Amino acid sequence: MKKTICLLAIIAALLFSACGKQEGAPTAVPAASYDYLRLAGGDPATLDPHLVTDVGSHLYVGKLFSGLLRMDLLAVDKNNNDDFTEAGEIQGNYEKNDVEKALREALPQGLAFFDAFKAKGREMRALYKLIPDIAKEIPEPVYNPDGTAFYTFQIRDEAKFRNGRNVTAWDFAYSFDRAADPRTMSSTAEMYLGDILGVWEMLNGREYGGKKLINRVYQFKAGEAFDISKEFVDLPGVRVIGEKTLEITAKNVLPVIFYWHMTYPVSFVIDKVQVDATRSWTENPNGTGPYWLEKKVVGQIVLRVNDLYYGFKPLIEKRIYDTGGGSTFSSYENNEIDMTGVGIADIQAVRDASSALAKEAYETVDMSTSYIGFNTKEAPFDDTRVRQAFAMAIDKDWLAEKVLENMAQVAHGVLPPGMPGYRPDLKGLEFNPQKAKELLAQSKYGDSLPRIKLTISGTGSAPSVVLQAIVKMWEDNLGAKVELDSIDYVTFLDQIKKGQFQMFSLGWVADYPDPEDFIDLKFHSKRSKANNETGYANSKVDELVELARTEKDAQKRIRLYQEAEDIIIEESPWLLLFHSKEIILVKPYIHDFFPSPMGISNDYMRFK
Amino acid sequence: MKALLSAILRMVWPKRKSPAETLSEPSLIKDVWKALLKNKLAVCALIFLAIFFLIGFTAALAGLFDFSITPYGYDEIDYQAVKQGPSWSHWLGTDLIGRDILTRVIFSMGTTVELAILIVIFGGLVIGVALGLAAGYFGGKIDSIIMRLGEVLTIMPPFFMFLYLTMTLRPRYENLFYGMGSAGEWLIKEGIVDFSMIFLVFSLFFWVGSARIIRSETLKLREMPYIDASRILGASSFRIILRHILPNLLGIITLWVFEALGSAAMAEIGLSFFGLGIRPPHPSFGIMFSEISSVRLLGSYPHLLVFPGLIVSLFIFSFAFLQMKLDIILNTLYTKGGGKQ
Repeated sequence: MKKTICLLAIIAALLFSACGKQEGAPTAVPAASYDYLRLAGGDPATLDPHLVTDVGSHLYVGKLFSGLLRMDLLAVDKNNNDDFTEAGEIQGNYEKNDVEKALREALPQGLAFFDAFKAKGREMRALYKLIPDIAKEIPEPVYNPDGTAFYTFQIRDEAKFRNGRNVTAWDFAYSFDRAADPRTMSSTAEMYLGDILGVWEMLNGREYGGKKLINRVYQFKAGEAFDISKEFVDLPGVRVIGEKTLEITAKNVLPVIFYWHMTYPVSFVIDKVQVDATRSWTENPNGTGPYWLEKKVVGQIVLRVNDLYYGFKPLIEKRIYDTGGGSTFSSYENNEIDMTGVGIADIQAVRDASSALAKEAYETVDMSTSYIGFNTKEAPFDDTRVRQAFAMAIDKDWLAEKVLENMAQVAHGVLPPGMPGYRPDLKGLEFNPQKAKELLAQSKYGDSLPRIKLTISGTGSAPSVVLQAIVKMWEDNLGAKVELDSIDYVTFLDQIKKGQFQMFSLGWVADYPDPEDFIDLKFHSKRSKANNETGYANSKVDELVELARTEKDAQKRIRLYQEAEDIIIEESPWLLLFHSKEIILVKPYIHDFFPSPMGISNDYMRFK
Repeated sequence: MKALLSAILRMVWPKRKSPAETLSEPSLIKDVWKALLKNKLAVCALIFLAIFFLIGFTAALAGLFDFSITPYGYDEIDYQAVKQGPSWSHWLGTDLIGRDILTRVIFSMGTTVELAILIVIFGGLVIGVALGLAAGYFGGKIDSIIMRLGEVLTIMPPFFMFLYLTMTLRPRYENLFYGMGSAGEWLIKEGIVDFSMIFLVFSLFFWVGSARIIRSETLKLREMPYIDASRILGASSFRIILRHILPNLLGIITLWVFEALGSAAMAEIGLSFFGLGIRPPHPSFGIMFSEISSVRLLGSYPHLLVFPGLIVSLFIFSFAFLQMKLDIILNTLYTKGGGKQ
């Protein structure tokens, strides 16, 4: 009797707790409709454009905020016949002239690029281009005698924040100042805003022109009317010429590199009123992007089209993101979401040509390269032959095909597909266990290898099976016993900057479509360990990369990077692994979806 | 030969005795054992565990002394057969990178058994019994120190302590062995260092349970008149503890060992799942589960989970069930008077 009462009490308690309604609970998953797009998304780490580093946050930030320049989709060659004459191939408000001009001018200059993908089994290519966003046009640089250049940006008249306030040059000055302010702790400011005069000095607390650079923020007194022009402009490289005219002075970098850097979220404009008022302004951002944040609760994020948006208004009015986790594939099959990524487990179902899912699948190769980095300053990887031996001792084709089920493409070179300069026919260091053994024997450490540790980031689970297989292949083919060491992500990043690892597993995703992002950033000997983690130093590579920094002819530049890439492949500071693939399923009632690289928004997607 | 076998059999499965015989030889273990054997399910659980430990023990020895008991190595890759279901060449199929699952399961059992025994012996028995005896017999300050220490350790959330200790101590601990030259390197390569680190850290927390039990029993026994008698006769504390108290504790120690083996094994599996315990290439159930922890994977390749999962589930169930039964039996034995089943 007592037992039964207890049992009933417990059941009652559980039922009551389940009934309780939370404040701001997510609304139930709506059924498919043509009014809103339902997706699965992650919880963003941050919605502050100056602090975004991960893809998950970029997904939202790219829609809520904007900056002077961005990349946009122009057209898609759906028939793979190299022309864009069919209906539906040219996107948005673009016309045939725009496409032809892009192919004629922007493409050879490196301001436009192609990205290949497979849609429902058909090969297609998408044409992306750098376009002015809040700026009216892409300004040409004007050179000063000392080699620096200034760019004069005209801000669109109709550019407004979501609350209706006009965007002015002072807002940009405020935003750049804030991003470069060491107190903001932006980890991307140095790389992407570092071209602008004074940014590096302000970030590192140094002097510029004899004066220490500090970001002063104008504080409005009680009752004082808001006037953005009162804001202090502290960066020497930023000058406000008029309410809608902004002048940025950059160091001697190629304009194309400067433009790409300006497309990254750290260059986006933010609202001074909001940001100064409260730390939690990202809960309700007053952005300038094509969407605004309608709702953000645990488990759900809702984005709605911004009617005040100055650019092409997205054709999808509302986006509902389910951030609850769980299997998105089954949600997709149950018609709870309209789009999903596909993992290894479900790939068979999608690849089966006769299945309905195959007709809804889009496949693209990411603009990323995963690799195992060797510390070229530490034994035994200070000897090139050892690195080559390790590289040639693993069978990447088997890994990609059998273990990863072709969810990744073997990387033979540093540059990923889609990147200008990518060469699909590269052979690189091929799998050759015999040669690998010989190379190892010839090296300094031929007789006895020292202790070798492969460090992986991320605790919370056992090391990936791919790495376990690689370690086994080294043991079988080289007789080398490598230990796997897992370290938590934060410590990993920290220690990599200090060069404390012998061998580590990493990846690099393209931020913009220029080989400089890989070849210069990761392999020039003067780069800090935070970027050139392997400590690689080759004078010929340095020379080629430095020439490329000032080479105005885009084709010649690409060739310089390719030459450097050849040397890098040969000397193998990176054991190149894969370019991962992305497979996305999209419901048939959604049209004009194209998988886009580098987080570029696809605003042309629509329902029937 | 027959005599030997029947002697062994008699040790584990005593024949029924008449009431008189039973009363004349009070033995906690024997009583509990007989009661347990009456329950069919308990017998099944015991048999399963016995087989588990037998296989595990053999596997552990095989690993240590380098003789093979399976046609495949536990990290040997079959390049042609990746993610295959059960077949004639691989009875339980192959895992995500082509390693034979049956072999991995056998050696994982070895890992579990090895660690569970080491943890229980070192942590529970050596440390726990010693400290428990000391605390119980000497009382006073020694008792306070030991028990307070135990309480502090109990309060700390064990998972986070493991996390912290393994992450900070592991590199230093390993470097210590590397410094010892080639002998040290061999120890590391065999995975012994890894193992020892795990069981040292576990033992740090495990001794508390057994120490408490030992201590309370010792406190009771300490008051026995024959202890006083021994003391009057001049026996040293050491002798008293060893000759008079300890033998009476064997029963309770054995029961504790039984329970501890189960929880130690499960703790190891749990920790390896999070990458904090045994590290690849040495096999462990935790690692196997971690590799297949994506739910979607199981829809396509169920064989990856079914057999290891079944074995671990049965293992956990057996221990849980036996513990429950032991609890009931102990209660009935004590409340209803000795000898009654």
